[in-house]
Amino acid sequence: MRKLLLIMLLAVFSIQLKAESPVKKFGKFDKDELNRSVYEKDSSASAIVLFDVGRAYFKYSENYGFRLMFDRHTRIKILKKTGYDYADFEIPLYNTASGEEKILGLKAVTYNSNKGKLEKSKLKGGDVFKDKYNSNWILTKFSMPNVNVGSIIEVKYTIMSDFNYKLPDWKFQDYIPVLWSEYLVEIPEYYHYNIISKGYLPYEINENSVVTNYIQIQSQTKSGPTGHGAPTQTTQNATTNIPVITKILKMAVKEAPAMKKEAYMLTAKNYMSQIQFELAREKWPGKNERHYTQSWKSVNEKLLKHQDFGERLRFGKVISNDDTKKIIEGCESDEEKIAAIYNYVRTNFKWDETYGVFTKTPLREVLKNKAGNVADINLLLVLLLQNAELDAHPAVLSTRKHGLLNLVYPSVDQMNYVVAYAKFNGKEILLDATEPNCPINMLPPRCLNDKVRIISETNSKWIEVNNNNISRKKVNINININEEGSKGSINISREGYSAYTFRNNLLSKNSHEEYITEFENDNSGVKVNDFNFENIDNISENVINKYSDVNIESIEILGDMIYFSPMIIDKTTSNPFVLEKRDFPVDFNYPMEYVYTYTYTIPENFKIDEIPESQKFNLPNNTAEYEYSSSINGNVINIEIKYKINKRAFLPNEYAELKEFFNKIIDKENKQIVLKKS
Amino acid sequence: MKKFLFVSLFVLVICRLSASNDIETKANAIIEKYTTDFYIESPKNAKLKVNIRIKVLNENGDIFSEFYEYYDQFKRVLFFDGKIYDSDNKKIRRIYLSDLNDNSLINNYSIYDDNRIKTYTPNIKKYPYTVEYTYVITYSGIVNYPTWQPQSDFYLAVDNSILNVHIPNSMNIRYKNYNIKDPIIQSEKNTKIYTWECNNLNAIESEDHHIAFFNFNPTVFLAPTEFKIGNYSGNMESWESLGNWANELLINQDNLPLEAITEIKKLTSLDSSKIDITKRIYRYIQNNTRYVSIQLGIGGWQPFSAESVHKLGYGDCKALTNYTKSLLKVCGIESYYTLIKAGRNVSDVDTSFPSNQFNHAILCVPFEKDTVWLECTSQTSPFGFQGTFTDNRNALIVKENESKIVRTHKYTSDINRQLRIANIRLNDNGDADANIETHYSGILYKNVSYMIGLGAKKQEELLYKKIDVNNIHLNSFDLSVNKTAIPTAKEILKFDISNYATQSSSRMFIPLNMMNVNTYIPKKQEKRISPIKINIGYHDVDSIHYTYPDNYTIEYIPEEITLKNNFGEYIVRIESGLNSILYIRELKIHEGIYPSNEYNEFYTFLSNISKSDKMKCILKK
Repeated sequence: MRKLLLIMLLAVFSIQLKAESPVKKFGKFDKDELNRSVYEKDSSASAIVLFDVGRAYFKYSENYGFRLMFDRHTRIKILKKTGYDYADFEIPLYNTASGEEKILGLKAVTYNSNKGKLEKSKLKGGDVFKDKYNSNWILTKFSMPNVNVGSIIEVKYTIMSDFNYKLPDWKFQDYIPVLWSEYLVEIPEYYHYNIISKGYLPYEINENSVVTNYIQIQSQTKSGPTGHGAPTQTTQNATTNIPVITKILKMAVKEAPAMKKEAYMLTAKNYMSQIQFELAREKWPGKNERHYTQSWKSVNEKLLKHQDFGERLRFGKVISNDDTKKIIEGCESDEEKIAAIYNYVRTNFKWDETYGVFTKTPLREVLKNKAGNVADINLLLVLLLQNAELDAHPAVLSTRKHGLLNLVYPSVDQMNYVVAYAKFNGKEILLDATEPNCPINMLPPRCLNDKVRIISETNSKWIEVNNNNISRKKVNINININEEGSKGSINISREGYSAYTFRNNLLSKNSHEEYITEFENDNSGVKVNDFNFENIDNISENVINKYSDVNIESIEILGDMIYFSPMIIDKTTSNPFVLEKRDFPVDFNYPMEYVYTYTYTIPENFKIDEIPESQKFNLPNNTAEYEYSSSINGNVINIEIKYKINKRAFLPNEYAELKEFFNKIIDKENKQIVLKKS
Repeated sequence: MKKFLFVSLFVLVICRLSASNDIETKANAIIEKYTTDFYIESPKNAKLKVNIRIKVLNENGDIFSEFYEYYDQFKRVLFFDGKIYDSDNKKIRRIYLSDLNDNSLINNYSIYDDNRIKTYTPNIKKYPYTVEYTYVITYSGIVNYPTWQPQSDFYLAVDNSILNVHIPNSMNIRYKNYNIKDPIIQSEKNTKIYTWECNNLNAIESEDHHIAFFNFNPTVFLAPTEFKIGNYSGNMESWESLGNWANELLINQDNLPLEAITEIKKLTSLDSSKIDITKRIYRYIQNNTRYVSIQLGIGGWQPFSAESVHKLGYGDCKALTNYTKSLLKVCGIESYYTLIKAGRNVSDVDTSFPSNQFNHAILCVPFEKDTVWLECTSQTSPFGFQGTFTDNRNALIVKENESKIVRTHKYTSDINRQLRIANIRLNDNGDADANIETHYSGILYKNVSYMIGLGAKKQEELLYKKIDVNNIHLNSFDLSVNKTAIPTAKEILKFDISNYATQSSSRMFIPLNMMNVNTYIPKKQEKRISPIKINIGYHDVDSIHYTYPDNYTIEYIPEEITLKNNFGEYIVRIESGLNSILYIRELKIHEGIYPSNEYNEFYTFLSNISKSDKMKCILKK
C-alpha cells in the first residue's frame, strides 16, 4: 500500500498545473452553469459539487479571547432526480456542559432557470429544523426549496465553536464528483496542530505561508490634569495592537472523481482525500507550553494518564487478589494462567457492541453488570492479567471500518479500539475478550488493520496485528455412486477464521437443523440425514462437522450414462468480481486455504469414460494457487483440490489477474466426470 | 396450537429443561407474565400500564429483552421500573426511567419529526436470565389504540398474557378478536373492564411465505369510537366517519397562490380531455416537487398546505397528495385524497374493523371507465401505475360523508410478464456470443426502470451486476421504457461469454437456461402452520436458440418437462435442429393465499424448478 502511495505522489508532482479557482461570490455565476445538463467526465453523476470552500480561523474578542470560526460555502448542481439527496443538508453541532457550537448567518438559495429567466428560491428560517439527536449532538437540518433537475444550490454558513482544539476536518472528495474543493486554515502562533492527510488525489494548490495579524486590546488609562487650568480628568481608551503570527495553509483539489464502493474493499474513508487536524500543543505568552499529543510516545503517556484508560489499570483494589487467584486456580504456567483469565472474561462479560479506546462505565458497574464496551472489557482483561503478575498491557488499534493508520501523524483519534497484549516465554500474543468465538491470540476480523500499538510504561511499541492466523478448511468426501441413488459421507474441519465464521453462523441460527437446511440450500443436491458437530464450544480446537449419511442427488443417471461435476459442495459458481476494472485494492483480510479430497467409488457395471485432467495454476509470486489433481485407482476416482490465497490485499493493477484466476476456478470446477454402462 | 392449551404448566417446564424435540424447545425467550392495562379516560386521554416478565434462553432471544418505546408530543413515557434476574432468580440489576437511552428517531436526512425513542438493552451474557419491566405511558391526544399481540414473533413462547381495557361507562371501546375468545366484561363503579387472556402459547418456528401474524395468532385490535388529537375530534365507528375526520384535516389546506393558479391554467390550456390535463399535472408535480417528510405535532396527521408545497417544492405524502388534488381542482377535476397501508408484502387492511390501519396517502382520480391512482411522492412512477408499494389492497377514499373502502389495481401474472428471445452462437472452445432481447411489463418493468437515466457508464456497471452469467464481456446494450399505466420495458444485450460451455477432451456441456435460473427454494417443513402467501404473480418465457459447431453431435438432450398445480405452471420444451438447439422455458406463478396443507407441494414445485433449471445438453465431437 505504502509503495502505491509513493508512486502516486510522484506521478502527482509531475502533472501539476495551475488552474483558476472557480469560486464565485454568493449569488454570482455564469449562465452556462445553470444550463449545464451533464458532467462530461462522469455521465453517471447524479449531482456535482461545483465548488466547496471552507475557512477555519480564530477570531479574537476581548470577552472571549480566541474563538474558532468555520466558514463554509458550497455550490451544488443537481443533474438527475437521483441527486435530490444532495439538496438535503444536515449540520451536526456539538454541545457539552462546557461549551457549544453555534451556526451563524445561514444563507441558502436554490437557482432555477425558467425559460432562460433566473429564478431564486431562498430557504426561510422557518424551514430549518433543529433535531436534538442526543445529549451531545444537535442536528441542524434543512431541505432546499424548489429543487429540480438542473437546479443550482448554494449554501453558506459559519460555525462558531467553543472547542478550539476541534479544528474541523475537511473532505476534498464525496460520493459525487467535486469540481473544486478548497480549504483555508489560519492558525495563530499559540496553537500547534498535527495534520493528517489521506487519499490519493493530487493537490491543485498546497501552500503554506505566514502573516502577521494584529489583535487589538483595549486598555483604559486615566489622564489626570496635566497643566494648569484643567479641572477635569478624562478617561482615555488606549488601543494596543498585538502582533500575532498566523500560519496559513491553503489546499485545493480539482475535479475529484466520485468515490465508489466495491466488493472486498476497505472502508471508502481510507481512500477519500481529506485532511484532519489534532491539537498538539498550546503556548500562550507568559505561560508554560501545554503539550497534547505530538509523538507516539506522548500518545502513550496521554493514554496511561487518562482516567478512562491508564487509571483503570490502577484500580486493582476493586478486584481482590483472591478473586484473581480463584480464576487461575490450578494453573501452573503463564500460558495456562493467561488462558484461564481470558476464558473467564470472554465467557462471563457481555460486549455491548460499541467500540472505543476509552471505558465508558465505572469498573464497579462493569463487574456488577458483567457488560461493557470494548475498553471496559479488554482493560478488565489486562487488569486481571496484571493482577496475576503476568506481563500484560493494553494495545490500541484502528478497526477496518475506522480507517488505516497513518503512523506519521501520531494521534489518539486515529484509534478506536483496545485489545490486550501479553507476553510469556518470549512469545507475544493479542487477546480480544469481546468475541465469544475468538480463540487466544486471534483477533476478530474487524481488528485486522495493519498494526497495534502496545501501551506500556516501559515497552511501548508497534506490532503486526495479524499473527499468522489464517482461514483453513479441509474437507473429505467419500461417495458411493449407485444407480438407485448415491450415498456418501462428508467430514469438514475448520481452523482459524473459517472456524470463527462457522461458529458465529451456528450461533445465529435458531437450531442446528436450521444450519443444515442452509448448508443443503447452498449445496443443492446434497441431503444430510444425520449430523454431528465437534468442538463447538472448545474454541481452541478445530471445529468439525461430520455428516456420515448423505444423499447425493446431484449425481444423475441419464440413460446409460452418468455425468456430474465432482465438486459436490462449495462449488464456486459465480465470480465475486464482475466489473472489468477496479479502482481500489481488493482486501481479503486474511490468507485462506481450502483442501477438498473426494473419493468416488463407481458401480461395477459402469466404466470411466472421462475425468477432468490434473491442472495447476498460480498468480505471480504464488500470491494465489490452485491445484486440481485427479487419478483413477480401479473403480475409485480420487479428486483433490487445493486452493490458497496467500496474500491479504491485491492492488488494482493485479485485479485483472485475480478476476481471471477466479474464472479459471469456475471453469475447472464445471468440468465433468463421465461414466458409461459397460 | 389448541392442543397445547391442555398441557399443564408443570409439563411445560420439564419440556423446556430437557432437550426433547418438542416444539417448545424452539423458544429463544418465554414471556412468563405480560399484563397490559389500558385506561381510556376521555376521547383524548388515555394511560397504558404494562408489566412484562420475559425469560431469555439464548443469544437469539436477546432481542426480546430490549425495551423500546416511541413517544412524541401526544405520548409520554411517564414511569419505568426494570429489574433483571440471573438464572438463579437473583436480582442483579435495577433500571430507572433515567437509565433509558433517549434518542431522536431520525436517521434519515429528509425527515423532520418530533418522534423520539426510549430504549434499553440489558446486555447479559449468562443464560437464562429474566427481565421484568413495569412502565406507564400517557396519551394526551390519541387516534390509534395499542394492538395486543402477546406472541409477536417466531421463537417466542408465552406462558400468560392478559389485556384489561378500562373504559368509562359513558364511552365505548371497539375491538376485533383474532384467534382468541371474546373478552370477559366486568363493571366497576363508572367503569367497564374488558379482559382477554391467553396462556401457554408454544414457540413457532419461522415460516417462509407466511401470512400476517395476527391471522394465525391471538391478537386483539382496539379502536376508539370518539377520539381527539390536537383540536380535531373524530368518530371511528364507520369508514364514513373516519373519512370525515380525515377530510376535516384537509379543509382550507388546498388554497393556492394566484400565480400558481395562473401557471397551471396556462400549462393545461392546450389540453382538451380530462385525462390529458391530469397527466400534465402529474408530470408537473413529478418535475417540480420531491419527497421530504415533515411530521411535527398534528402534522403527523394533517398535510401542510398546498400553498407551502408550491413555495418549497417539497412535502410528505400527505402534503404532495393534497397539493396534486388542489392543482386538479383548479382545472375543475375532482379527485380524492386516499389513505392506504403501503409497503411490499404487508397485511391488508381489515375492512370489517374501521380504524386507522393506514400509513400513507395517495390520490384517486375517478374516470368514467377506470380509476387512476397517483403516487405523488415519486418523481419517476408512470402515470397511473402503482407497483408493489400500493397495489391490490384496500384503501380509504376520503370524501365528505361518502368516504369508502375501495380496492386498488391488481397486477396479475397476465400483466407481469417477461419475454426473452436469445440467440447464442457457441464456438469450438466453448465460448459464445449472445444476442438477447427481453421485454418486461407490469411490475417486472422495474427490472429495467431502475437503470433509466443513470448514464451509460453506470448502466453498464449495473448490467454487469444484473446479468447472471459468468465471464461476460458486454459489447452493446439498449434500455428503454414505456411509461404507460401498465408500463413496459425493453432490454437489448449483446455480449461475449468465455467458457460458457464446459469442455472435456471430447465433449461440450451446455447449460440450457442461460439467464433465468431459479435458485430459490423455500424452507422444508414437516408441520406448516400459516397458509402460504404468494405476493406477486408473474409469467416468464425464455426462448433460447443455441447454434454449435458442426463437428459436434448431440449425445444427450434433457427430456421435456411440464409441472402444473395451483401455484403455477412450469414447462420446458427442447427441440434440436441442424447444429442447433431451441430451449423454451415457461414459468407462470399465480399470486394468492393457499391452504397450509399444500405447502409440501409448493416446496416440491420450487425444488423441481430449481433442479430442472440447471439442466445441461451434452455434445460429443
